[in-house]
Amino acid sequence: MTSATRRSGAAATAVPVLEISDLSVELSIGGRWIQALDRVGLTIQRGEVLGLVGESGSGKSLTALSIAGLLPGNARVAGGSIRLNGEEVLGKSEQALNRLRARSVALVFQNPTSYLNPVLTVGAQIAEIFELNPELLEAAGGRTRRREAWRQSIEALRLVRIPDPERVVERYPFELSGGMQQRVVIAMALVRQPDLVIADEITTALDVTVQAQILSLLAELRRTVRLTLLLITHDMGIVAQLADRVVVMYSGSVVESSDVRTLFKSPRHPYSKALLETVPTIDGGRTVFRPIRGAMPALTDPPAGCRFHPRCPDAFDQCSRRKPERLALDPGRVVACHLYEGGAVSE
Amino acid sequence: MLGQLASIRRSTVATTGAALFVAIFVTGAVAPLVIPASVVRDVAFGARLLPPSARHWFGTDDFGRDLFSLVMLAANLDLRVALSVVLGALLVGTVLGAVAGLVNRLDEPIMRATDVFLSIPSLVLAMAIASVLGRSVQNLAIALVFVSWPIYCRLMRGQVLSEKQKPYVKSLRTLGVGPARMIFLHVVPNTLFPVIARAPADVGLILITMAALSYIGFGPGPYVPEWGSLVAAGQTYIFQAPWLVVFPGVAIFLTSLSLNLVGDWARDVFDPRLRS
Amino acid sequence: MGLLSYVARRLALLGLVLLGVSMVVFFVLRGMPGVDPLAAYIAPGLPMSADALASLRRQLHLDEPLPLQYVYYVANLLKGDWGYSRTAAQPVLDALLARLPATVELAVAAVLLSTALGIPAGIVAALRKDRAADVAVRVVSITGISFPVFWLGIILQLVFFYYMGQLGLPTLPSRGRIGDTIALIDPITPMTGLYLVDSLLTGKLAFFGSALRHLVLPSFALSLISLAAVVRIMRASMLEVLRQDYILLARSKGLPTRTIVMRHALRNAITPVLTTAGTTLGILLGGAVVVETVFSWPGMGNLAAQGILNNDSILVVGFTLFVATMMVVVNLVVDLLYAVVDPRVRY
Repeated sequence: MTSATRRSGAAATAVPVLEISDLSVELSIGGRWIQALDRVGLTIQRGEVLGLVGESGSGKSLTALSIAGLLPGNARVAGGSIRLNGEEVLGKSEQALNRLRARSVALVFQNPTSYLNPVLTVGAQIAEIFELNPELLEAAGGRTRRREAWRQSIEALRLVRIPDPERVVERYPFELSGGMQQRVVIAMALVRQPDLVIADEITTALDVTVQAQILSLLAELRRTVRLTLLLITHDMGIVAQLADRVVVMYSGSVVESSDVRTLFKSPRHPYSKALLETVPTIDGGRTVFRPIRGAMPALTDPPAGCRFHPRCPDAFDQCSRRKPERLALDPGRVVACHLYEGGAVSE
Repeated sequence: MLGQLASIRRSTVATTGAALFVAIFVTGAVAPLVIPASVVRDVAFGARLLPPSARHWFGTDDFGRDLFSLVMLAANLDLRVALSVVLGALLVGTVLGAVAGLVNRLDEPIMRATDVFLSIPSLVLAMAIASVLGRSVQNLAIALVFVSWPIYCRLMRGQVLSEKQKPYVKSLRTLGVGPARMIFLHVVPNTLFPVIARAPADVGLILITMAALSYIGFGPGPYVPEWGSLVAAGQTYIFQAPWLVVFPGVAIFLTSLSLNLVGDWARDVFDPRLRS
Repeated sequence: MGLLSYVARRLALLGLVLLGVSMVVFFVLRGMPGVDPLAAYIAPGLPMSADALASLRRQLHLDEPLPLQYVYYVANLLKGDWGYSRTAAQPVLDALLARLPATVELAVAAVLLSTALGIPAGIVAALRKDRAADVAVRVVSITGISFPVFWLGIILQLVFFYYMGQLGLPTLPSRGRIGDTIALIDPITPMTGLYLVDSLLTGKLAFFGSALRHLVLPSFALSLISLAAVVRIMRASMLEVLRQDYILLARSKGLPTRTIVMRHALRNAITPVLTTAGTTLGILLGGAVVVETVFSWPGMGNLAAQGILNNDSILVVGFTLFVATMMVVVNLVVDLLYAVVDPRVRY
């Protein structure tokens, strides 16, 4: 299924690699079910990089885990649909989900040190992926599968620009630096030639210089292996650098989605505007950093109406009464905000 | 929801355990008042090794004594020893542990001594001590206190050290609360709960250890009923009169089970590391 | 830091702990308030003149100050002079060493049994947390620690030797290490002193069978002492590991549960069980006193129990010192093995 769609993917009537619509997820907190995702929707086309941004706790990671069927035990899907290459993911059996994770969707997480198994070598942790995908070893050419898997693991390390991959493959994770560890996890994602890579805050735990290296690696991989990437971050700077389109989330729902250039030029939702202002700008030689005032509401006690209204500079009476509908403003741009209902406000 | 169900189930189990223990405790407390001492002294060779019946619920032993009375009377001694041993160890251990945690100069020597004690298996050390002191129940109890305090000492010291780091201690200090007042009114009460949470399970463990030591020869002799010695005495007639072993053993088992059920629950409730 | 300096440091620590242990044992023997240390050296009821007592006191250096006595005591220990046991009618160290293999055979069998049963049970309980299997394992393990082992031993004899015999079913032996007839007609030449090993080395299968059958009941009774601890540690540690990030990454690779548990979780989760092996062995050697008495097993513990009945404190205290030393050494060996297996430990 996957390789067939991969080849036909370039056709004009492209089925999106990922299409999430109206996804609602609930969390059990203190014996009560709390709505954590509220009708989230997003679409990624082949070869596209979609930035998913928002503060921590906005539901970005929960969205990512839902796609791979990896929601924690205290979470459940309450509605909606997740289609991967046109095929519904929700309701799949655990076995089918394992197939999907083994081949189609790969995740890269925040802190590589804690996500690599301390007692297995780098090579063992990459090579085991081939056990699940023997078809990736077609070119075995007389070599045993095991040796071919090992050889391809080394190649994967080379692809993510790890120096001296023949030696690193034998190392244990604790012998590598954080940046190298994250490259290893990225290599694990790439060896399966997945349809979709989900990168969840993958540079947050790293030093600034290492961050820059990982980001330029991603930019390079976009060109070389035509990565389809769901890039989850709270950092608008990273979005500007890598993403084609962007989806802004706040407190469990999508507040605005648009292509990157348009959003940076003219953000519509007040939250998007505020988020853009958190990006440090060079202002007369000084770096200015303006955090958003207030804090995200607790999921257990969300405000009525628009969840952003207590922090919104433009809030008016409507905002605390009703949840805003999603409005398609321009082609390719959706905003959920009362300001734009019935053309109430124009630029 | 499942988690809640499990915790409800767990607390019912703990309640059952507590009820069982209270019943055994009351039996032990009341038995010497209700059962005449002559039951232990009077030997009736005509009624030797009778099987359980309406007259003798647990049968009779090789002296023709009513086993039910002996097992009930033994509850008194066994519980008294197990409870006082744990109380004594708790007292010695927590005081030493608190001192180690509060007085820097004494920390190192106390903890090294604790390490040494913990590196010797406690049953074996208790054997040595009781053997040198001479065979008696009292010496056995002293020996058991001697080997049981270090675990409380280590636990208490850890508690005190982590409590000292907490912000409220600093803020109280800036408010001018003196060290003595601080320790006794604030630090100690907060540290004591996790330490005490161990106690029920430890009473069960000491009870079993004591019965075992008593079984191998530290027991009080045939005229003082004690569960471990009753089992030892009955072992001679195991194929003829198995009830002599079965009933005292069941008594030990039920008592220790009740304490372990309560202890398991107490550990879940009071041990902050296991709380999720 | 390398392995060698780690070993050196651990050996120095071993010396210090043994010094501490010898102090405690010396204090027990000579420093107990209200006890004349001379009493331990005289058979009760043996008439001795005051002169004879005084000269014995001098001979044993009991008239010297305590610190000096301690020096004599340790010097004697190091020379192998641990005192004379009335019960065994031979020097304490010889008596203990002669019975060591029997105890080792029993304790090792019990360790193997309790790990073979306890580790899988702990894993199953963790994987099925709060479900029926978990509750069952917890109930069984709580019941297990509540059993007085000496009593359980007698009940096992009653059931598997007496009642099964009455019903004409095959029985298991209830006393000793070996069948009397076999020991007479087809004895083995002792090499290691471990019957199972020696009989296999000399190819005496009938002897092996008899030794194995004799081992079943005592080792099962003894294993129960540590079984509950193994289950509890394994369950807690497995639950802890399953919460780790690297397990989530392993799941995101599409690995089946079995692979995740066996390859990724088990190696990390089993270390607490292994590192407590020394302590477990100490508990088992304590339990061996009781179990050996119940089953007339000719080991060190059985001898020590006889020593108690004879007021032979020199023997009992010697046994304590011997067991404590064993436990300290085993702890060291376990730690060293662990440092070889997991290089992170040395740092």
